[in-house]
Amino acid sequence: MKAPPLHLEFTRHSLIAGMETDGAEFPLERQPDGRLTVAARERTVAALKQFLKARGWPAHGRAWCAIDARGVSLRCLSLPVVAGDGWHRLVRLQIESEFPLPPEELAWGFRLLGEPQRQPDGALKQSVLVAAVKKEIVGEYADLLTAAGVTAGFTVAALARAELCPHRPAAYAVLELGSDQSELAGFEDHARAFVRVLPVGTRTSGTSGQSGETALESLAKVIRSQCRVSKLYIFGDADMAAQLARRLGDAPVGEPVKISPGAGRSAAILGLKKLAEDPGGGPLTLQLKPAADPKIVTSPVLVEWGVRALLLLLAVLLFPFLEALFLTAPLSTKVAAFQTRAGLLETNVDRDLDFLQYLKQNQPPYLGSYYIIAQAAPSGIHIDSLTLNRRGEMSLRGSLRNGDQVADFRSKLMASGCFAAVTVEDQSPTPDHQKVNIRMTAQLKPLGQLLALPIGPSPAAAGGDTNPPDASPGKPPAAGLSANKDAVRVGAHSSLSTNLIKGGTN
Amino acid sequence: MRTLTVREQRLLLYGGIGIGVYLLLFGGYKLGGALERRSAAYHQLVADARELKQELKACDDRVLVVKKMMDHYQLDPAKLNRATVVGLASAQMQKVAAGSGIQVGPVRESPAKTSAREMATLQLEGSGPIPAVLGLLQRMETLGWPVIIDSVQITPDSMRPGQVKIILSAVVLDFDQWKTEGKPHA
Repeated sequence: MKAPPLHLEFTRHSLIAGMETDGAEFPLERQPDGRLTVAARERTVAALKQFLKARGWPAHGRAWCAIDARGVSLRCLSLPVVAGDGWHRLVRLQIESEFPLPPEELAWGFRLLGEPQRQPDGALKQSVLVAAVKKEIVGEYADLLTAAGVTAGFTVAALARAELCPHRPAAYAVLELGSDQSELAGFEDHARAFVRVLPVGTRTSGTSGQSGETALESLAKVIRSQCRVSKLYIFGDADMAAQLARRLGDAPVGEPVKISPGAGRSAAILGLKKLAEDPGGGPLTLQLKPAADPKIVTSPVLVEWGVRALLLLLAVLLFPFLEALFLTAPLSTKVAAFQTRAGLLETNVDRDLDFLQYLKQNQPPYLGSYYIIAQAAPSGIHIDSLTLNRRGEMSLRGSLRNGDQVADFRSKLMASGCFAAVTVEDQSPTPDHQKVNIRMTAQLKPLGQLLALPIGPSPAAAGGDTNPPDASPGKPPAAGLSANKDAVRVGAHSSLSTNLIKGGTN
Repeated sequence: MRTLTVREQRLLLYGGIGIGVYLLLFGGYKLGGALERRSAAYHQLVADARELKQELKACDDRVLVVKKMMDHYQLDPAKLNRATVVGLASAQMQKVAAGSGIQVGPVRESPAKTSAREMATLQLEGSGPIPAVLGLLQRMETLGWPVIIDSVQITPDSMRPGQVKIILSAVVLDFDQWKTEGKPHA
C-alpha cells in the first residue's frame, strides 16, 4: 500500500505534521542547549505514532522533514564544473576547507544553482548551494521520527519556504516571523546565501506600544544591514509583516506572503509539498550518512571481497595448523597400534631369531671335517675309529705304514687350517713292524672361522675323482664350507670309503 | 523503555567494537597458543612415527633372516609342542636314517640337563654304507625338529664288509626356555 504523503517541520517550539487534508502540531520542550527534553521526546513520539496510526501510515514510511535554522549554515560556492558524480566529492572537499567542522560531523547537502557561468578568466564555474548542520541536531530529529515509525529525509525549512515566493528576483530574502524569533534567509544572485536566526518575534515585538515599534525598527535595521537584496518575502503574522514591509520601504521591498491557516499548514510544509510535486526538483537533502563515493566499491561487493579476504587470511593463518588439527587423532591411534604390534613382533622375532641362531651356531661341520680328514689321510691308512663331537673334538684311532706317513698326515691336517691343534697321543709300531698304530686327537677351530675357510672339492673334483689333484687341503675350492655340502659329502664319501672300508678289509 | 539517542547508540557501538576487538585479540592469542601446542604435539608424534618406522624396518630385516632360517631348517619354533617334540624328533631321525640306507640299531633316549637348555639326548646306533652315513649327517640339519648332533663315532663294521657302524648322539633343544628367558645367552 502506498503511504499518503507526509511532511513535517521542526520549529523551536513544535513539530508540525501535514498530510494531504489535515495535520497536527505537537509541542516540544527543549533544554537550554537546544536539545529536546526526554519527556517531550517520548510524548511527541507517542502522539505522532497515534496520529499516523489513525491515518493508516505504514511503519517506516518515507516523509520529508524541514528543520529550523538553528545551527544551519547556508553558503553559495562557485566550483569548477565536474562530470556526473564528481560533485559530491568536490563539495565535500570544499566543506572540509571552508566549514568549521569536518564533513563527518555534519549533515550536509547541496544543490546546483542555475547553469554554469563562464568566468572572466575563461573558467567555467557552477554555483552550488550548500546547507550543513551539526549531525547531532538532525540525528536527534531522525531518532525521534524513527521511533515514531517514520523514515525522514531532511531539508532546511527556509529553503522550502522560498519555494512559495512568487516572482523571485535574482537576489531576494525570505523572512519567517516566529513567536519569539525569526528566520532570515537570503539568496543573492547565486553568489551568496545565508540563513540567520533573529531574536525578534511576534511575542517580543508585541502588537502595540513603544517596545513593539522599537523591535520592528531593530529588525528592519538588521535586515537592511544583512541583506543586499531587492525583495524580501515575509511569512508569518500578517499585521506584523505589513508593518515591517512599511518600515523597510524600498530597501528592500517587503512583500508579505499569505498562508491560509489550518492544522499542519506552515510555509515550510507547503513549500515541501510544492517541491514534492515538482517532477524535476526535490528539496536539498541533508545527508546524515555520507553518500557512497562512486570511486569506492559499494557495500555488497565490498562485503563479498571483505569476506573473501577474511577467509583467505584465516586460511593462511590456519594452514600450518590444519594438518595438526585433522591428523593428530588418527595418527595417534595408528602409532599406538603400531607400537603395540611392533613390541609384540619384536619380542617374537627376537626370540625365534635367537633360537634359530643358537641352532645354527651349535651345528658342527661334520661333513667338512670328514672331508678334511679324508683328504689329508695318506694312502694305506687304516681307521679303526673316528669320533667327532659338537665341541669340535676329533679323536682318531688307526694305523699307518710308517712314521713318515704319520707326520705327513698330521702336517696336512694342520695345513688345512681347520684344526687349532693336532696331537698324536700314541704312536707305536705293530709287533711285525709293518705298520704304526696311532691315537690322534685334534681340536677344530671355532665355527665362525671354519665357515670362512674355503674347504671342499671343486665342482669337477666332486664328480667322482677319488683324489683330485686340486682338492688337497688348504687349496681353494669352488665354494666355502657351508655352501657346498653336497660336494663335501661326495668328496668325503670317496675318501672315507677308500680309507675306512678298504683299510678295514685289509 | 526509552529509545536510545544517536550518541548513546554510537557509544554502545564503539564500546561493542572495542570489546569485540579485545575478545578477538585475546581469543586469537589463546587460540594461537593452543594451536601451537597442538602442532608441536603433532610433530612430536610424527617424529615418533618415523622412529617407529625405522624400528619396524630393522625388525623387517630380522623377520627375513628368521624366515630364511626357518626355510633352511624346515622348522617353525612357534609350532613346536613340548609334549611331543622329543618323540617326534626321535621317530623322524630313525625314519631319515632308514631312508638314507642305514640299518637302524638300538635307539636310546635320556633326559638332558635343563640348565643347558636341552630336553633330551637321543643316541642312535646303526650300520650302513658310507654314503648312507654321510647322507644321514647331511639330512639331520633339515630334520624339521630342534636337534643338534652332539657326537658321531664311525667305525668299520667287521661283520658286514663294505659297511661302517655309526653311533650318533643328538640333543633335542628345549625351545620353551627361549620363550621364558627373553634374551637367551646363546
